[in-house]
Amino acid sequence: MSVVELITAALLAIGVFFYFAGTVGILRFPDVHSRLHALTKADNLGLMAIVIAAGLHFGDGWIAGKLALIWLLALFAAGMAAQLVARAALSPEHNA
Amino acid sequence: MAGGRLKLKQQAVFHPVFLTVLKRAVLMALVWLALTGGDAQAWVYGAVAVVCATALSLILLPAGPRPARVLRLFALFPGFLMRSIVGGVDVAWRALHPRLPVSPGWVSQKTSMRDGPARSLFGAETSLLPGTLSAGCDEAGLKIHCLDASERTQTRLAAEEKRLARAFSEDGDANEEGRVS
Repeated sequence: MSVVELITAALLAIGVFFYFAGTVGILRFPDVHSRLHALTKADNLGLMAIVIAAGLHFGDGWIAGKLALIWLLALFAAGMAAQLVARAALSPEHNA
Repeated sequence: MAGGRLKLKQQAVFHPVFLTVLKRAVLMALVWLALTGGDAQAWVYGAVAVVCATALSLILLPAGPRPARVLRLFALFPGFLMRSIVGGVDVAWRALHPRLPVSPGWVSQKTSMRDGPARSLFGAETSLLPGTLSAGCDEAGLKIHCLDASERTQTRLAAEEKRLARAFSEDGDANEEGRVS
């Protein structure tokens, strides 16, 4: 295994770890809003690691750019979606 | 006299709406460039796509009175990246900790940002930063859900807002209200 392959494998493992942690958070955290924390933040980091791993694997600047674009859009969507779900899940006393 | 006329001319050239259109067109062109992998022949379609996408973006989100300062936003990115990594590690640690160290609570964050793209972006950003999650706003301010409700979170949020506000021309332009835009 070359150094690049090792780094790629390590990044993939890190990415899977954060997706796993996010899923554990969804299952263990006490309420909707806390679960949203786990979903947005951990998954964002998991995707970041996997995108970097894929970029290294292909070793091509244009593919890396495309992957970066995917990650940026997912990041933006995660942040906005988290806000919207959080607002929709507000209990009545918060809406007062 | 000549200096004054030059200034007037520059203002006409760098009209804010024109700048917004230009910025968005450049952004769309960059996206096209990434999507096509730098294929020169694809620019024939790219030109049409960029014009259409820019027009659509102007319909969906018309040019506002407080344009984003692209370079400043760009400069914020590395710091945001670092803090969002901290946010992910923090939430993963809490989720996997046997005793589940969370004490969720709500914080009302006073904001000087007016409603609009900057505030939406601030909300999206807080949702990716360590321990905070935005849930819209009311008269009291932004409603922020905290995984660990403490004062530290509030001071950090205020600092974050200030940074982002600077990137959206929202700071130090109190006299802007009086100006016709």
